[in-house]
Amino acid sequence: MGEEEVEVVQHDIIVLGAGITGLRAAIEIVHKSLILNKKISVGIISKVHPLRSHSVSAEGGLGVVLSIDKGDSFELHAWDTVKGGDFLCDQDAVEFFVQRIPREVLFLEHVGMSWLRNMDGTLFQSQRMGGHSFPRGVFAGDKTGHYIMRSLFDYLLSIADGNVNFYNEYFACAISVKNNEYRGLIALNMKNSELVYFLSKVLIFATGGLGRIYKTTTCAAGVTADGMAIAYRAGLRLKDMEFTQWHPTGLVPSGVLISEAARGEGGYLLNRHGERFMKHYAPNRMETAPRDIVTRAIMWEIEKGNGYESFGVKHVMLDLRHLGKNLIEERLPFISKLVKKKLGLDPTQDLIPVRPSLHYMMGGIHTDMFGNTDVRGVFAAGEVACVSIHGANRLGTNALADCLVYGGVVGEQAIEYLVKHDPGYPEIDREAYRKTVKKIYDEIYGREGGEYSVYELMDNLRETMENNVGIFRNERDIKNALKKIREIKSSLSKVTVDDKDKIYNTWLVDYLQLENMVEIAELIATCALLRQESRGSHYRIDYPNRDDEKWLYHTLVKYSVDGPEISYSPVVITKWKPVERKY
Amino acid sequence: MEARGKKVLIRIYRPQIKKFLDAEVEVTKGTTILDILKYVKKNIDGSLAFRYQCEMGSCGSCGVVVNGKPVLACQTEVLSLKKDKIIIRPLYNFPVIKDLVVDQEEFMFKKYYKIQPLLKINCEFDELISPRGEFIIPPKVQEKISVYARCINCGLCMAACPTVSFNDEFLGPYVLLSMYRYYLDPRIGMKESLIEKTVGNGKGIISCHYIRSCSRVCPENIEVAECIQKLKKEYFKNVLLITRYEKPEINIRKFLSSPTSKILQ
Repeated sequence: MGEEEVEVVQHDIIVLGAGITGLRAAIEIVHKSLILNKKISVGIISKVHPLRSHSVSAEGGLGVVLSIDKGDSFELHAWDTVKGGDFLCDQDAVEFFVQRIPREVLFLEHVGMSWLRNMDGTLFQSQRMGGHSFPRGVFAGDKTGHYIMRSLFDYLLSIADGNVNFYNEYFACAISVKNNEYRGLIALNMKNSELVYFLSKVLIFATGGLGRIYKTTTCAAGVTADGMAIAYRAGLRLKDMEFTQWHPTGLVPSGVLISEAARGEGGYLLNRHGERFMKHYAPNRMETAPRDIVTRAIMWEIEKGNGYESFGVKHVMLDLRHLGKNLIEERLPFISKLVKKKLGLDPTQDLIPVRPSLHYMMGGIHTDMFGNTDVRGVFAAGEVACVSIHGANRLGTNALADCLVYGGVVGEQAIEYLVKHDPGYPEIDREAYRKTVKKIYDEIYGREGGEYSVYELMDNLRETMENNVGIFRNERDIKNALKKIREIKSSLSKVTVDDKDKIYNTWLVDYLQLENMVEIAELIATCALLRQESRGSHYRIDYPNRDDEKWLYHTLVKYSVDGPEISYSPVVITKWKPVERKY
Repeated sequence: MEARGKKVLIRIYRPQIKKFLDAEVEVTKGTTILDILKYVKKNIDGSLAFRYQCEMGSCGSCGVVVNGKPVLACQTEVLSLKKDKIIIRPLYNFPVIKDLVVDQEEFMFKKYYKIQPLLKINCEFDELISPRGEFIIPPKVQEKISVYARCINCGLCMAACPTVSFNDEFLGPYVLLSMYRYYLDPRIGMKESLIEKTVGNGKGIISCHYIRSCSRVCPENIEVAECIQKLKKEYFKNVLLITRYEKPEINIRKFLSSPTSKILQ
């Protein structure tokens, strides 16, 4: 490849990531362009086919205020969210967020979404997920994410009219930002390992989370922090990176997700003595306390010796037997099938072995309450972003809502930016392109006789994070983790990709993913070390209390050549002063 | 992989070099085909290419042919196959990109994009962008749609279909199933045009011979073949003009058009 030959693809807007957030953003862009009667071209880049995105794995429902006549209100939903987030949420954003959810739910309903119905044909709303004080979850069996994805995808196809272009199986390598101006994105076409320069006026990050950094996770293989790493390297600030959420009920041994809906519908958690141990930790809400609280309760029970052990893993049991066959078949069919397939158990008769599994990232690319990042023309939404509406701990059912609401918001913002500022296409950053070419072809393809294997290092990293920056954290462990992470980081230059094939080289992609994971793992550990308090999902054994005086702040982290640069910013408080968090 | 398991011979076909990659692997209860592929990639040959994502049967990425049958690798337990020799190949009826990675875009998704079964939604554009409530859909109708909407787009039905194997024009079970799903949905309009699209020159419903391979391999146990038969029935009813399509009503939620709308705009 000649150095000056740059393969350029040009669109007004590039959406990076094609999960619920990405598709919703694209739909909003098309809607607005129809209203404005303006032709706007969109390119959607994804490292997998859109319908293989991890959004399809979302099992639980979506929290929405629809039953005002029955006593629910936006204020109550916002309060639940703020309290669930241990008061680290920006309250203005939360209030804005909860009010936008109903129209997302109804819009989806109009385009064919399979929400469960009442006998009279209206939407069925019953799920009471952890931390919500009203049963406000709407859902579609326990495959809600799957149904949402297909509805969005099919609807987007139907309105695309040639203006929406999919770039499936393109792996984003880097973005270029010069003088706070966005210049373009460089991606690897996985089919032939060619690099493509995506030139656009606007970029939307919708790349999702980072679950695979940990060993036990509910997340798909592709959830590897790519978006956060790319943004960080380009100088965008990341926020609240110490807040990683564990889902209390991952299936033993793999950690596959057993939806919170199982408890929302009335499932019990039992210890070895058959006791509903949540009564010691959250006497009022029991199993439907927020996730951080249930997660720690399970771990404390195990530490006290009240757990079970199977497959060499300590765990507790989830009991659904009393729910009855009909309810399980109607509302939890997927997990019923999953449990049967994986362990040969029947939830109507057997206890299900569960333990916490890494599930979600509250932190991410720093944005304001409308999805604007530090760089003009670059937006972020969904799990990759941190607004922050989830604070230190996200409530169940708020993630799908976040993806939809903020997908829509950034789509709208992107159009507004295009129309108001009419920025024009930036100049191609040839230097950045050359750098990426050099990295992929000379450094990675060209490297011979390496000492380490991608897969060993990946296992090593995931193990380190699980053991040292896990549910219970302390200074010594985190420092150890940082040391190991930095060792892994420096070992990366001694890893070889022995497969020199240009066609669908998954070894190369795994290497690039590992690079991203290591980068972000270092930030999680760094931020976790600095926050000397316990708040939400971040629990420090050496600082077991919340400290609002010192730590009611967001952590911000920015790239510098000498390592991560940390700063803090205040939390926006509108209505609710922090109080003790009891359930 | 744990010790004390059963030893099986794994043969993975690599079409681009027309060779098998052989490995002897120990498997225990619960070990899946995907676990084996990951084990081989990590320990024997890192260049082996295959797709996988969710590892729980939701994303439809990991379709392969195991001992002649299209399956999801993550949902197939090795011991349940009761064989000492396991042959893994890329999905039939798709062009191969590399090893077990096939091109589903060209032969499956593009047909689907072209058909676009979601032709028109039975409401105005304004209602879509600021909805006032939900369509009233009886739960029985919704349940029926949900069964067909469970499809995870894995393409196993396309790989199993004998008609797809010799007739490039044939839309195939995946596309026809999706059409039936939207045909059932009272929220979706222009049903006459939709049903028209299911026929024509070897591509449509008439080319299905009802061999039912699609239904047998579907990991979601959807009766795909039956859908195609039902589409045939609907086609003839439509030609004879005996079907009437009714639009559902909207259940208006009053509060959505009152106090909050200020803040929403």
